[in-house]
Amino acid sequence: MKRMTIESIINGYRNKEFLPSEITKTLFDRIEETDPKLNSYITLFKEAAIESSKIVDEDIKNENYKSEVHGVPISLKDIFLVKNELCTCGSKMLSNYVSNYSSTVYEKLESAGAIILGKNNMDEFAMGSSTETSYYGPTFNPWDTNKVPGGSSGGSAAAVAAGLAIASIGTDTGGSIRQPASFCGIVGLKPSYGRISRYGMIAFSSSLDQAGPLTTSVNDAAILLDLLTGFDSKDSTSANIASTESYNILKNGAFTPKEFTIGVPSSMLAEGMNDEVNDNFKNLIKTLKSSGFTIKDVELPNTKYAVATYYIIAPSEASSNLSRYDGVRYGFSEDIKEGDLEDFYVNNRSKGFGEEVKRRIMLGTYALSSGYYDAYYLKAINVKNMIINDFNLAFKDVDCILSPTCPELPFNIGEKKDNPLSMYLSDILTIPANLAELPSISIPFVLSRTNLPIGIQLTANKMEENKLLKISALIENEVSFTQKP
Amino acid sequence: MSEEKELVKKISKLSRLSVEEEKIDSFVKNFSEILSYIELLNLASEDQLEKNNITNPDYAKRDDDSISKLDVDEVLKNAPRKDGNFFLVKKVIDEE
Repeated sequence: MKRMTIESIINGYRNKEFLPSEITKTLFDRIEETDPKLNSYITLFKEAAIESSKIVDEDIKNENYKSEVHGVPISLKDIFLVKNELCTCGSKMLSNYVSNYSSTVYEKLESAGAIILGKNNMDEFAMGSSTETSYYGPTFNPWDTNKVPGGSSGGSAAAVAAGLAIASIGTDTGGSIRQPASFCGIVGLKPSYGRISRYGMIAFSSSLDQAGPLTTSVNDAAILLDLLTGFDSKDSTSANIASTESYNILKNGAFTPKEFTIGVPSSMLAEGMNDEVNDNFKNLIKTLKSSGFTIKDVELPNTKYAVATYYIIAPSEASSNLSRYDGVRYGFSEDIKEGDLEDFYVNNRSKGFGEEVKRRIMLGTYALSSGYYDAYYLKAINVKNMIINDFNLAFKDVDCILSPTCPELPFNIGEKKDNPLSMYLSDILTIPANLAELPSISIPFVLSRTNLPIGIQLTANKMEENKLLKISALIENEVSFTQKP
Repeated sequence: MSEEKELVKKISKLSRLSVEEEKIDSFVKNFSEILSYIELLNLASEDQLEKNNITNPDYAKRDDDSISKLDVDEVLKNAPRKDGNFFLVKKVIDEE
């Protein structure tokens, strides 16, 4: 089967080649066959999806098209609430949690007529870069099942890469859409902070979390971006501006490489880069130059502090956000014979959370504790502002910034399990865009000698998704990466 | 090591968490490594910090109206222990 895109599915419907119920059934057959090896889903909505696909069949037969995703089977990271369905967030803590209401992301997809296949595996509470911290077991990379798919949206990325969903919606707090997209050879877009409502999306680090699409093409990412963006009064941090209309701009195609200047942060890329990633990236720069882009060196002097800054801000917010899990109102809860209410909390939290989540809660508690607040949290907020300043200066000279998405190739399952710091450094190139609230995308561009995908990352100025996607479409066309696992 | 272990125990108490005894040594080791990495921030230039010491987020405001739509039964659906319209917890007041 050819690499499926939202566009190819929609064209197939409009040309009466197949029906939504047929595509949906094909996907569930493939999931049944392939997912035992990948573990990319936690929950499947098989009955409901097949049922709704039959209803959508009638719409398609009558040429009653609601949207660009009408009848398209899409999956969701298991962090988005869907009323009356389980939402585990990859944790034992929420293994029995049934959502009381639906996220805005789900409601928008639902009312656009998308068919929701189920919920994807993820690192517990989105904390991880390999999908190994999931209580439901790791997800495996479809290109090589000895390798991790990246994380935390690793289930979404693996499912899309393996053709077990046409697209998926994930979340990105420090690279959790872009890094797994890169490791699985697909496109992953993190929009500007505030673009997509966080309502009904389980919180990890509220000032950094942002939802976005994982797809097999830049055009598909634009379709989902246009659908999901827009102000939502239920999320006070949602940007009060109109939805993007990037898909139409891409379809018009009235733009060329000559219009754009791409910045390359050479000093940021000097250290710790895998040779093969580095060599391929340098070759790409040459290709882009010859296709007409202007390439310019940019300085981002303070991004070397980005990982340290992130590991103060994100855990601090997590320690506050995750204090709600105490076993009283919902979630994992166990009767204890001895002890008081505090012992009851400690027991539930200690048994309900995995090791990485505990580590991050404790890092955050430490950073916010009496006597350390100024030295850690306040300092991190200041350095975050310095990083924003670096980007503001850079975007005076360039339209976007280009780097590899990840300094390394997909690593082995278990390789970094006992070394959390080395896991954290896997996000060294993706974290700056979260801290600076910028739109950023990962695009697959080449395979390594060992047949593993390598992705590049493009980052544009805040709310400049249109420009980001135009440049992305041009580069996608230039590299023409069409391989699949 | 013992000083670091004490710190981890203190922080775990503040976090209402406990770390399993057999995992405590590797946990302390990893925790300390991360804290030393974070010390990198001390190299960030203080001059620049002064200039950037402005955090002025644009907080959204809305009218102070109740917008909750969930009814009590719905909210209590996931409650591990309940009694009528209440969540049930362990006794917090002594009888004396």
